[in-house]
Amino acid sequence: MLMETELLTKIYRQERGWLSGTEQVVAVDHVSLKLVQGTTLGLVGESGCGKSTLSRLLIGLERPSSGRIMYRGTDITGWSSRRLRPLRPRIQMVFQNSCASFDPLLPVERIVSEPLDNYNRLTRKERMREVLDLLSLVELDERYLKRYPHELSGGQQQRVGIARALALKPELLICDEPFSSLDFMLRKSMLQLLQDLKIQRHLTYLFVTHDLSLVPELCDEVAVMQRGRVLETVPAAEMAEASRHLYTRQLLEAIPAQTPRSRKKAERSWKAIYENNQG
Amino acid sequence: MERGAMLRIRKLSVQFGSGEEAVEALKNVNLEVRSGTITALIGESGSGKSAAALSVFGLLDRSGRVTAGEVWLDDTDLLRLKPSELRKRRGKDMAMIFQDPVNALNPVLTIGRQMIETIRGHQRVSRQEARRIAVEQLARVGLPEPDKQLGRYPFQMSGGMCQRVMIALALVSGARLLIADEPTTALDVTIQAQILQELYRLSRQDGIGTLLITHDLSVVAEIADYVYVMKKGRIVETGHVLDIFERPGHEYTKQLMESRCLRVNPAKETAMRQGG
Repeated sequence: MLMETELLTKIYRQERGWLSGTEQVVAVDHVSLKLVQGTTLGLVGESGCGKSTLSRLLIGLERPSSGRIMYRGTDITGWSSRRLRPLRPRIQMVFQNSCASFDPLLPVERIVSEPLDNYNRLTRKERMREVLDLLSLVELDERYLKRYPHELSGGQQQRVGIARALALKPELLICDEPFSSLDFMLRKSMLQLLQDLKIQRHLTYLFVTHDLSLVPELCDEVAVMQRGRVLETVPAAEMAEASRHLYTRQLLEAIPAQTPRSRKKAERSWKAIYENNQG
Repeated sequence: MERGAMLRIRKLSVQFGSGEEAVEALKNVNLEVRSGTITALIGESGSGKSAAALSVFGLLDRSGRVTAGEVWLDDTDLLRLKPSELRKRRGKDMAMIFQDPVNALNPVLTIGRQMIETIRGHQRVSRQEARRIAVEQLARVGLPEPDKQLGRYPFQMSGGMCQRVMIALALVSGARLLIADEPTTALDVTIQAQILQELYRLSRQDGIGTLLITHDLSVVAEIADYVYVMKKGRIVETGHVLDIFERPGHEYTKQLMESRCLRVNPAKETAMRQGG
């Protein structure tokens, strides 16, 4: 067991205004999850269901209101940032909007090497080799070293974000919608990269997404989240058969067709125009 | 009756920058959109899809210019219109929706204010009449309680609701050509399904001709009728959606269709490890 949560809860208090007091928002509601080393857990649900808050709790960016977080059997709930520091390289995150997580004034070279500088002592040469290795993993090269975030396309930014997350050779990689801005060709090669690393480095993933079409390919298990709660955790390969919740079925139902012939709605016919065309 | 094309792009070439640094974003592009159908333009990021859409609207930024070609909307070559004439046609005859609906709306104005402003920009109607049209439009795109929505701000709405507002705004002045640039990329799957259904209904029931720009092949599989495949600014293949998916001719289209299958290859790594 790499990481585990027990009845993890996060409550935000919102000021409603003068005299009217505060309102509670339960973003994460008694969530118990297990992350087994070398496996991928998918976390699916609509926006606002608490997926991102949960991943921020795991990485230590937020403190839970109650419940426990265990790392390799040790309770790390509420540890100070100084105590957490040695753990940080082991748990890294790829953000949905990588660009927002970059310093706009730093070139790609510095963005990727910053974690290295923070945790390792490397000579300039070693560092450069490391950075180039990381960039080549995500199919970028030395031409990008001096570029600034705004000079990169969305897909390139996302890949730099992945390279940075891999810099410290983490054990657990939390990916929050990492591919939503990538086109299909890149998406496939990044999926292959994550899969290769999983085998090569025995990496563990928490894969946060609303795109269920990625789930069977990438995940071993899926946790379905709705309004802060994990409704159920099912094996990814048999999601349709194993799910007991209507909500999971609705999510599955919403995946668009993979071919024109399997269109979800029968009335979205391609036939009329096709036959019209042929004749 | 044979439905003619409402939008015809003929031999369009677009260049960004000038001199030695010039980049050809579009090369000799031919494309047609018929009313009542959904035409998809697909390609990787950077292939020139959006440049094609923007040149139809005369919205290329300053470094970009059309070097050759024609863009016919019904009987007018849009490229020969004066900016003021072109502006009149935007909204009235053609409209566009974008990837990020929340940011495309003005954050400090209510939905009602933005809609009424748009309606009165194109039609000579009283404020009250404009309000009535706005409510009708919001109902048409499937927003619940449309009269209440008018008083809300974009940040009070979900991404899916904002995209519906965008579609309503786009079509409020009677546009029959809708260019949708990645309309569902920023949305959840469940909301995406609803918006796709909406775009489909608009094309079939109201006869809207839609140019759907996307890199998401499942969106194409779900609602498109015709497909144009673009690579590096050129159209490499075009055809009915069934033909493109089932009998792709061009090598690039075949690659695209293969990338749709997300199955990654676990054998590759073991082979590499044994080799190393």
